[in-house]
Amino acid sequence: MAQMNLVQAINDALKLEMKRDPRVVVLGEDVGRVGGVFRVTQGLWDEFGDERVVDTPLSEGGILGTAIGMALYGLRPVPEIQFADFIYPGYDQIVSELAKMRWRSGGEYSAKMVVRTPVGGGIRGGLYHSQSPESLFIHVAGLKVVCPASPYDAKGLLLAALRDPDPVLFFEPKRIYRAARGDVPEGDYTVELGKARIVREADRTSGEPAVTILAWGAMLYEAVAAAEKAAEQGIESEIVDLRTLWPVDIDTIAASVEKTGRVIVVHEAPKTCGFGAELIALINERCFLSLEAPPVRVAGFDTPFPYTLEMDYLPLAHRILPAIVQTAKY
Amino acid sequence: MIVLLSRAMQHAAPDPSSASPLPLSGSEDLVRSERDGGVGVAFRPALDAVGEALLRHMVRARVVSARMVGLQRSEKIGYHHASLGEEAAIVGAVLAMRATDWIFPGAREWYAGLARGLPLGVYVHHAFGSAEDPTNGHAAPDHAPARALHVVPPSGVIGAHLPQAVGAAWAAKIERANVATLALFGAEVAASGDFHNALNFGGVFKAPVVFVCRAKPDARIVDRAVAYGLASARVDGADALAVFTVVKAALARATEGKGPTLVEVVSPSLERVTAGAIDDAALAAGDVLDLGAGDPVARLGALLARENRASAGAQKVLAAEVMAELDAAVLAAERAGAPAPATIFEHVYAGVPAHLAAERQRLTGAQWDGGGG
Repeated sequence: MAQMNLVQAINDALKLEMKRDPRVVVLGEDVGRVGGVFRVTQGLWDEFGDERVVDTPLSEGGILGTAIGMALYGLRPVPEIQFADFIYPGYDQIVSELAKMRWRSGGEYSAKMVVRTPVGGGIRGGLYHSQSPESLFIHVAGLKVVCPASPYDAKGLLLAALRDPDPVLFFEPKRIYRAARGDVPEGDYTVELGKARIVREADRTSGEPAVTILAWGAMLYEAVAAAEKAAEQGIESEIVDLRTLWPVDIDTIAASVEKTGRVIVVHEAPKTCGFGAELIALINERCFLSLEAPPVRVAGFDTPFPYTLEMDYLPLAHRILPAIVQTAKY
Repeated sequence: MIVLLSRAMQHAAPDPSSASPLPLSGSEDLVRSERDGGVGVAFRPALDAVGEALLRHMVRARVVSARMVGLQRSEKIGYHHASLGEEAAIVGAVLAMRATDWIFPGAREWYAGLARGLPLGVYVHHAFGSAEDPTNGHAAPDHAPARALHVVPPSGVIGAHLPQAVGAAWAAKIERANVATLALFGAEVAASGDFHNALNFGGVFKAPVVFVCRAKPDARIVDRAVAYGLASARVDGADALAVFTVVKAALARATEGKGPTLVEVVSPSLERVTAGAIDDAALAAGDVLDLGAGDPVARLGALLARENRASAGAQKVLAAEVMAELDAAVLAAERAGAPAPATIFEHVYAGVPAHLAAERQRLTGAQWDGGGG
């Protein structure tokens, strides 16, 4: 089996689906000849030509608006937004048009597409190249939101998203674009949307306190690192990689929280009204009586994303570890 | 006959449906049909069955809009985007496109669906948001879809449909389909970012799209075309034949791979509309076929009468027929009642995810299961 990083896995999925389905069209700023700012679309233009791999003018509203028109017509556009931080000029087209097309037309029309965009900090990108806007899209009815953490999941989730009947926001954690490596099968496979994955199981045989950690994207690896440190102190952690953020796999989450009685949510986005808030509300609704400690969020601060102090802003392992310890000992 | 061609239009091919050279004039002169005694750039369009079809639809659009204004005043429907006086622009443009071409109307161009064959009864069910509304009461009046007729439902966001019209046209081009798109909008859209995006992307990719903008005489939206390298024309909005012929020519350019055209249709300023002088009695009686000097319906009616193709009496008969059809449609919509509450949750996604199924269960009165989300 081939070893790939996240960039290669996503590229492989795009290539595979473009071969399989002639309706798939990639468009965005410099996605063609250049192969994208992170080279995720490298080689596609050479293979599929400039009608299917389209360099567009620099306007996210134009990219997304025209992509919606293409999707209405019957193509399967895959617009790339160079950084999620730049998605806001196209936000109206996503929120008012893409998300609502099926509903407002009584199911007559749909605009099925996958919007790909890199998210997250830790690449010295500063406030306009580091944001994690997932909750702004989860809040919008009609969208699905995906964020892979491993190359295997990136390929399988992207192939599933490209074949899904609904519009999907596909957030790619850029900090681990090349750092995350793993086995990726050649050829076709999908990872079902809406299913979380238990990355690390908590062993409850000892009867010692254990915590559930919910994470996704680049922060999954921080959660794993923190859990390993906590294990040295005898604290068991069960880590759930959400993979699909919406619709969220609440059953897997609830089962884990019922098992451990304790939960920590980790995300890069600002804490207030971040997805962690919704996850904890859902957990309270589902398994309030199983909780043995207050649910905790380890998140980005309620500030813009800093350039110099980005490692202080990010909820890295050294910030997750104390939360694990305190929650376990509550 | 004087025909001025803008630089962009000089190489445009003659419109096969018209014996005249193209009546496209760039931004200097207003295109009007010489049959109608207009001034500006005169031309003589083919009249055959087109004139009668235009008039029939314009009378229908007028009478339906007047009735909807009345239904809004009496609070039977939420609101209506009145299109009184805009019939030549809307009907002229829609009828100029082929049945296989796609139409992206704004809410005020709601008649696009009806012109294509959306049944009046469905339009009225939609206006009432009844159980028979194709959107299940999801969308507000004048936002009806008609996918089988290639009519995309208008957005509530002014101008959002313009880049979509470009995208659909671009997709047709990629698929090598002989399909063009028509985007209809008012001049206020020209202030939006979507307008810029649409004209820019449309120009860059030479998408087969026709932009038709209704505007007041001093708006000069047409001048924007130069910046995007688009062909353009400015047309008398009281002259349905002129609109029809110009949009046909723009469609020909689009299908020949020459890219988008921006057509500005200068709306007539009608006394009885601008003064709000259509009283309830006139609305109820359907007395709306002549709203003052420059009325496109009255004007086309008079032209066809002069050419012995229609009589004023025939238009009144048609108006009465539409009124009767509306009576029945309104009654049916009122009787249909509201959609079932569970329909709120339909078509959010292709399926119904678990969280929506749970919310639906709660709304429809099933016992709370004690669980969340």
